[in-house]
Amino acid sequence: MIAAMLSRASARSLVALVLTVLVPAGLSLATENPGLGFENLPFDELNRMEVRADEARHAFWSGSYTDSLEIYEEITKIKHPSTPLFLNEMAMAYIALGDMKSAERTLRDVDRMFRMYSAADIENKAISKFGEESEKIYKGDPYERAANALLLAFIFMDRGDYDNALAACKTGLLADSDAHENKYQSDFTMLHLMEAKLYQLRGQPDSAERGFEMAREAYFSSHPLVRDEFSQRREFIGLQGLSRKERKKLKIKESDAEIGGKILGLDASLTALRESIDAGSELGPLLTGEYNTLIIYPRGMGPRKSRTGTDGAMVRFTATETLFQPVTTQLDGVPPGSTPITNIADIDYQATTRGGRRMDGILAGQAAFRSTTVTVGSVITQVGQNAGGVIGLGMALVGAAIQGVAGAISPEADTRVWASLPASFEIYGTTLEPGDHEIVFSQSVYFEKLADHRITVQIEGPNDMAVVFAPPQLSGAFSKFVETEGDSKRRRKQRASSKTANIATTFLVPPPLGFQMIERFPAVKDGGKAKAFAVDDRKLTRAIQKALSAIHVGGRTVSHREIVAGVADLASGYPVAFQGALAGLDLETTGKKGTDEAYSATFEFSLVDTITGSVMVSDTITGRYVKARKDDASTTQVFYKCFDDALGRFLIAPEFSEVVRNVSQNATLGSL
Amino acid sequence: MNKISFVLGLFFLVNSIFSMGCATKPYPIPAAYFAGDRDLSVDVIKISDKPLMRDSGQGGLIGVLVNAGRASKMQKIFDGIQGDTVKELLNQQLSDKLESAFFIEEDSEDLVLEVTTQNWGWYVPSTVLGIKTGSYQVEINGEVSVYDMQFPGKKKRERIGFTRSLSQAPLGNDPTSTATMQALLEAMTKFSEEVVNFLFTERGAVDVSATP
Repeated sequence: MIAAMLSRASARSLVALVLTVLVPAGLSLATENPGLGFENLPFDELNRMEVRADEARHAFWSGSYTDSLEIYEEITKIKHPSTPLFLNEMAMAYIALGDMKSAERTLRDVDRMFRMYSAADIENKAISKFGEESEKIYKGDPYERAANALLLAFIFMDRGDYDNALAACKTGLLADSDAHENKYQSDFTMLHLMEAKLYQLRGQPDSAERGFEMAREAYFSSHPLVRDEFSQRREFIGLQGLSRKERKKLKIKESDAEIGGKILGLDASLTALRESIDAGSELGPLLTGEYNTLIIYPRGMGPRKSRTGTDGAMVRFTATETLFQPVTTQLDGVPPGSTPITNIADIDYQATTRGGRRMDGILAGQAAFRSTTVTVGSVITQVGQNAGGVIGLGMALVGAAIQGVAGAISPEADTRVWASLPASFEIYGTTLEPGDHEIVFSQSVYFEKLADHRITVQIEGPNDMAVVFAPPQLSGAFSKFVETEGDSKRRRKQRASSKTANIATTFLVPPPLGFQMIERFPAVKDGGKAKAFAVDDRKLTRAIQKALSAIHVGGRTVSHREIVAGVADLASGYPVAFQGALAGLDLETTGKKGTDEAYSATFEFSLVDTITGSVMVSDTITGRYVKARKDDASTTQVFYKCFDDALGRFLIAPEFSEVVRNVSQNATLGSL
Repeated sequence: MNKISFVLGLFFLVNSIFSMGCATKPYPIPAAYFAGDRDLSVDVIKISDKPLMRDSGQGGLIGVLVNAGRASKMQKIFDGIQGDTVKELLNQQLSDKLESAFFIEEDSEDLVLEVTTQNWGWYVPSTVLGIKTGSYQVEINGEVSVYDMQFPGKKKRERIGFTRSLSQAPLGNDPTSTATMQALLEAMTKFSEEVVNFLFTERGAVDVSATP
């Protein structure tokens, strides 16, 4: 009996011991990894952060990198599902400021987070155990993970840490390839080129040679001349893999033999195209490794995601095709000897393809390919791993009426994207002699030249490398409506005003700056309605021309495309440009009964010397309009009245008149 | 130019006789208008001040009541966007696309493009009792006519091109105002592209002079 009692006591002790160990262990597991260490924020809160992040992005693209970082720091105070995204965006801001240490730190943080939940077993645990929260974690599309790795590789290379740089290249190449099904290798040419160069620097010539061969292959398959046919070929190969039932659903009538014939035809065409591409000449020293300095130019703005399909369940990429003013460079006082190399780090291309095959978009978390989906939102017959975006999105029911918060993030479609990436990186490679060298980057907003970025590069020895980043193009400074100007051929007829008698001089009038497609006068009180309006840039430039004409100054309108194509050509004929930018909007109630509305719009007007880019005169002026209760003017009309008011006051300012007088006198003397 | 105008006039006279009393079929701008320098102004002559809701119409009375509840919420989502905003955006989008062929002026005495919108706002796919069967779509629906204001003859103002378009963009099930604005812009871009692409169908028949 005593033995039985001891036995029961032992059993109880044992149970107590087990519980003592296991319960805290279980608890600690629950608190250590509640959703992999991320705060579980609702979709609402994540979407609010996206709105705040948009302000940070606008600041970044307008060149206000410090302001941008302040906002990002605010929204990354706690670790939440969008933190990896915001950290990536911060890295570009740090790079723009030249703070490579902070850039490296944030990129490495993101890399750690990506690695943490990209392993398949962790993913499965995340989905099953952590449910909804894991669906929100941003893990980045393959191109974003590859871009993260590329930037780290550049930073490590500049620091002389070639081992880590090589590791970063390999990480990027792995992210860009189909590691799961081994269907395709990476076609990210610059990663291959970097890998090869790093093998050279490490004294591994055989590996370097293999790397350069891979780079050559990647360059061929992703070259603009080849891309479309390469993609078509991969699509046909994909069709061959479909079952009869799937082909019937997709209404594919071609037989295997016919598809095979098309593939052979494309093979022949691709062979001929390859022979026409001179990779050695086009890639220059990057393909031989004969350089010790890289200058990286971010060009344009990277892709955005938007919803499409009947249920908005598919995400597709949209590229910003607008051209922006390029950054000019002086290397030791002279322009570089050649132009930067393009098509080796094409972010837009990487985003929209998988192994060279163009995607239709991302549907239910997986890559959906052209001609393999019956209608958007239904059958996917080709699936790709690593489609990125939200883990577990495949669990969301495509086409079902899910009541979630739709915005950037929702169970339906995740449209979060690394918004501070450029459309591409263009890269210039050169060899500098040992010693100090100065690189000067200059940016302009139309005719106004901004402060130069000066960087000193030190080359210490034969194995030393320098990697320098040019500042991003200031797309945020320009108005959104220049993006719709696109590739239309603007035919601008010079208005009669410039040919009117008594015209002392003619100013160039570029499009106004700083406008979104839809602007808003803010709501008068909390919970009130903002007053939206849209602006036609043509009306604004015509208003400027008309106002200039009234004071005997001609105004020649110039389009965004004309300016981007060549400021110097325009400047040679016209010494002064009239530039205007929206600075703010306000709305208050006024009048005896408080029923009238007082609108105000603030503008920055400048006269700019088109040759030097310096500002001759500038002022910030607020135009006003009071709308009485019975006044039926629309919000848009009210805005134009505010603009006319501000413009009129600028044109009568003494400083403006003095500039006009001086310019006219110079023009008269010049013509004598 | 006069001969071309006469031939065009005859064409339109015959066309108008045969199309009298019928719903107008769309027809593109004749090729001759793309030769030479022509001015064109864009005018949105009819647009509702507020966004309107359209549904599939199968819900009956209950469907109407249910959708009315959705409508007030969606009105807030449009956040101050009114007819004149959409009017300016349409004007801008169309002008951008038309500029490849014409000089866009404010008050052209040569060619005028007029847009009449039937509705703009959002569409709710719904079935009996107003059950929503898909996500909201922003849509814009309208007719576009192009007139030659210097047409020979008494009438002078002659319609030379006409088309209709209904364009939509997905909004999701519970959209934010930011998403709504983006979808609205997308719908307008689609509308403008469809309209101009159709009206320019015969442009390829003329060797348009290079951009100066």
